[in-house]
Amino acid sequence: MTAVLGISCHFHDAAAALVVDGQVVAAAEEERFTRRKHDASFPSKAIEFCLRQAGMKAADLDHVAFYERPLTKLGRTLATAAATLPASAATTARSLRSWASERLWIRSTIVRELGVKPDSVLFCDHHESHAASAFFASPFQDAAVLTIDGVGEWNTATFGSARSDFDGGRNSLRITHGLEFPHSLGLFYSSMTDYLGFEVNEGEFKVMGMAAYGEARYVDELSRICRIGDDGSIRLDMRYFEFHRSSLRSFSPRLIELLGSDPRDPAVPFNTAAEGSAGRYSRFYADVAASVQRLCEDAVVAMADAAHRAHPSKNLALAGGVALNGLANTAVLERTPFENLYIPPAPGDSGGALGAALHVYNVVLGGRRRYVGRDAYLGAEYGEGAIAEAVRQWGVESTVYDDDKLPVAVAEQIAAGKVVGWFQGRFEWGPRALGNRSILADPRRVEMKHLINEKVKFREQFRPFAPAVAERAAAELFDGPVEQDPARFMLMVMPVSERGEKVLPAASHFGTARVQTVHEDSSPLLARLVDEVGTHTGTPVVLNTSFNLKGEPMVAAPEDALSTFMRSGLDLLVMGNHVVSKD
Amino acid sequence: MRRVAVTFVLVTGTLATCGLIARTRSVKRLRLSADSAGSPAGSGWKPLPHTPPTVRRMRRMS
Repeated sequence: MTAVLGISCHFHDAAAALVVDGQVVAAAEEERFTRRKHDASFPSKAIEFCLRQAGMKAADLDHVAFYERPLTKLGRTLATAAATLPASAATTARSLRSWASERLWIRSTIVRELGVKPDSVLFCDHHESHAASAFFASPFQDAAVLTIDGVGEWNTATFGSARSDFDGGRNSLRITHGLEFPHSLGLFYSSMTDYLGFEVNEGEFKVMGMAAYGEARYVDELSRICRIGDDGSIRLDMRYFEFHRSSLRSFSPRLIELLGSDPRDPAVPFNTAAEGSAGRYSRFYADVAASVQRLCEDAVVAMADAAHRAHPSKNLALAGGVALNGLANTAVLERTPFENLYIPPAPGDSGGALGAALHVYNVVLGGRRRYVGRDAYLGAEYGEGAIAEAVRQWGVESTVYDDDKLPVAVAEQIAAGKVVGWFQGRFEWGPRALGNRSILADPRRVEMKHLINEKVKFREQFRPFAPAVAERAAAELFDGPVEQDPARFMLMVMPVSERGEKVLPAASHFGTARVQTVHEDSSPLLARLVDEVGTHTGTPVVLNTSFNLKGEPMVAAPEDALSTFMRSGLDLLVMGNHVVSKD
Repeated sequence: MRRVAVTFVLVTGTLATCGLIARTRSVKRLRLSADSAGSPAGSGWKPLPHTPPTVRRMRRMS
């Protein structure tokens, strides 16, 4: 037996993942257990869960793989400080405190926490971890690989190629080209996220949602500060950015001058339909968001083209935080020669934990490749006993249905307009709720969007919802590559078909949707529920959004689900076979 | 105690270290300020050397 534990931490979204004999046994972000969103601390609880899930002890591990090389990253931090002091004094001091207190000591922390030998701790390159997380979870035997994020050690984007079969042949992953800090598409997008009044490393997908309300009127201006070369590399004009010298603000006053307006005030409600100056205010920022999004799509397509020129293949394995941009992902398939795309459910830094473990197992140790990631249900499961106990402790009444009747009863409630908290099986790996920790509703009812944003999740009105659609019905309702694996993970945005617009008004965001295809093989219970909803509504689709409240991680345990249920406008909570109602 | 000592060395040594680094290739890699303004885009991809990833090499933190 060969067991490799992967770890990522000390930046954002700490996580752990366990690979045993090439199979991914468990993977989870630390935030789910600590209930601190984007928790970056050493993932003790996630590690404990992974080992428990495998029935192993830390002593059984062959290697522990860390997702990046800390000393190389420190070198970049110091070089940046050298180039930017004294302007960066406060940020540098804060960063050095973090290095001195924890980041430099990651090897000894792992040895101390797990009791493993120092020699068993291995360090991967940040972008190699991303690339491995995509390729070694894909079904491809050969592929070009492309990674795009904020920054790892020095690189902000890389491409290369990978080759491997499932018959025990040699596995290879070779990163051939890299784009170096500070020229980063991820940091450009984050800086504009900051300008648009959202939190960096949290609000990027809100920018994508906001973009649909605007027109890309500022592409020329933004193209001057983030230039895309003919070879697909990008170059930032650093006079417009401050992310390299300040942790308080990512953009400089020059950007405000360029766009002719102050950054958006997050306290002012975003409403493009408002009359007068309030509407104009929102429309300006929507136009900026649309321009940022357009530029991002063009840059991702240019990078994918560069990867294809260097490594011609039909297949592309894509990862890094930018791979969460569903519009850009779809553009890659539409505008480049690649025919097949794979993106893992956790393409960001948390996914680096799994990538590091897969890289060590497949490439460094030359293990036989066995894993294809076609579902994201790698987190913890809470059985009937834990659910019943939580229900008892909270003092609520539940009705228990048998397996056959549960989807029928819940589908009836969804079709009747109820908003349902749906808690089943193992929680998802990555930032998307894919039907095990989801809030579900009827997509025919246009008012659902408003209702869930305002009364259930207490979040911004402009935020869209995704449709979870039975695989067989997807092609009729959406005009896009629904057969591609990333659609299983809600990682592609595609146009809603004419029929889809008629029957799914709550799931359409200006004629597009971030589709999740539901497959019987990977999500049998959700597939049955979606089918049952279809018998009532005529369309096997449910509205799907993550089971959490604004600012909180997705629920993990039954207690989290009950707490969220009680504090929100949810009508019904379904945990395992238990149904709790507020009626 | 070890951490306190390292913190002290890191903080007090930062300015001196940065002064030295500023004269090395590392800072040139950054292309942070004036030279990134107005220069043509493209050719930002840097070929990366391939080193076979052995267990021994991967024990290194850099």
